[in-house]
Amino acid sequence: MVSEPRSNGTPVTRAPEDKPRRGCKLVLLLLLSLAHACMTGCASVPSRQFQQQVGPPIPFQELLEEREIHKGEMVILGGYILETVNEPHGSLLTILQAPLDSRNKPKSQDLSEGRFLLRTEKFLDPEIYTKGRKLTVGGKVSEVLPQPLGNRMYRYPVIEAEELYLWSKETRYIRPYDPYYDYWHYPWHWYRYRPYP
Amino acid sequence: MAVTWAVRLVGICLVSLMLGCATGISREARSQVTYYGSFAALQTAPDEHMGKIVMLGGKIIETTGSETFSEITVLQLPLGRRDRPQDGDRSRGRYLVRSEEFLDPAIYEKGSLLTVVGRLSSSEVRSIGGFQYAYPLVEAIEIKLWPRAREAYPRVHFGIGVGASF
Repeated sequence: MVSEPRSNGTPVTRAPEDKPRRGCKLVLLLLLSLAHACMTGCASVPSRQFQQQVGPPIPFQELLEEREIHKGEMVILGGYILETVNEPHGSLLTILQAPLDSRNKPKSQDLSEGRFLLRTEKFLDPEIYTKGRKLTVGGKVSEVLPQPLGNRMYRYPVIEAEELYLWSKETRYIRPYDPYYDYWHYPWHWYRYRPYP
Repeated sequence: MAVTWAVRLVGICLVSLMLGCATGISREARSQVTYYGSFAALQTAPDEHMGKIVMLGGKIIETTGSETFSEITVLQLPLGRRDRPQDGDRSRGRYLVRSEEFLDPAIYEKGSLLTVVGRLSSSEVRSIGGFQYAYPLVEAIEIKLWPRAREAYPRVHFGIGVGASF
């Protein structure tokens, strides 16, 4: 930084046409980046069109209790992938349900109320749709499919997927052990060797 | 005297830059590439592009070997800077890489990133679960296996701070 000497009251003057133009550019850049952030960051999951078709949210327990009344209704559900099975004309995913947050992203799997099956006509690669990944689906409630789970039969509600969103893996920054890391003086390493605590 | 040192320094910097920015795929292999289209197009009409030379990236799913050749099943990934595949969910499918050399499954292990230049051969249909998947087949000319990225954190720490000691 170069500090400019200022005489009292008279600020340093620059070329008059230079400054406002630069200001304009900056504002434009700021606006553009804001717009970009909005367009990429606030995209709704599932799409707005789909969300308009969805009625009031159905408690997951009601779907589990095999009530025919909900058949054919549009729902938004989410959870964690347990298994991806590929079939000749599509894929069947077993999902551990989890409640959704305000962005329709699944919350902790400890809050799960059960499981459901997700059927899609698309081929979903089991190397991408791997166990443990978060997924949100917009789809239609279909039949209930009893499948063995351990020693019992579990009645899985089946959802026919219309829109599917796989959440990207969360890369948590883990700081490896650093012997020189010093919480007290953190960004100012050159003050580390102060003679007092 | 000072000038010659400056020139030398610039020279050293340039050379190290050139060494540092070397791509994973050699110039010879790269110059042979004849297909520049998308992977999706290649997958929908594999026979149309037979014999063409492609450069593809991906993540290893499985490496198997037989007496005469080795084969890698790869999850396609788009190529990024310096021909390195970008890990993420932007895969458009799978393909097979076949090589006459022995590729050790312990080296070409699951999850490693690779970039391959090779000749497109007839596609092979195999099952993934109950699904019949048509794998484009690439006869390898050159394979670059990328070293696994460590859980990297900046080795060099630059800090700017204002502090006062009393």
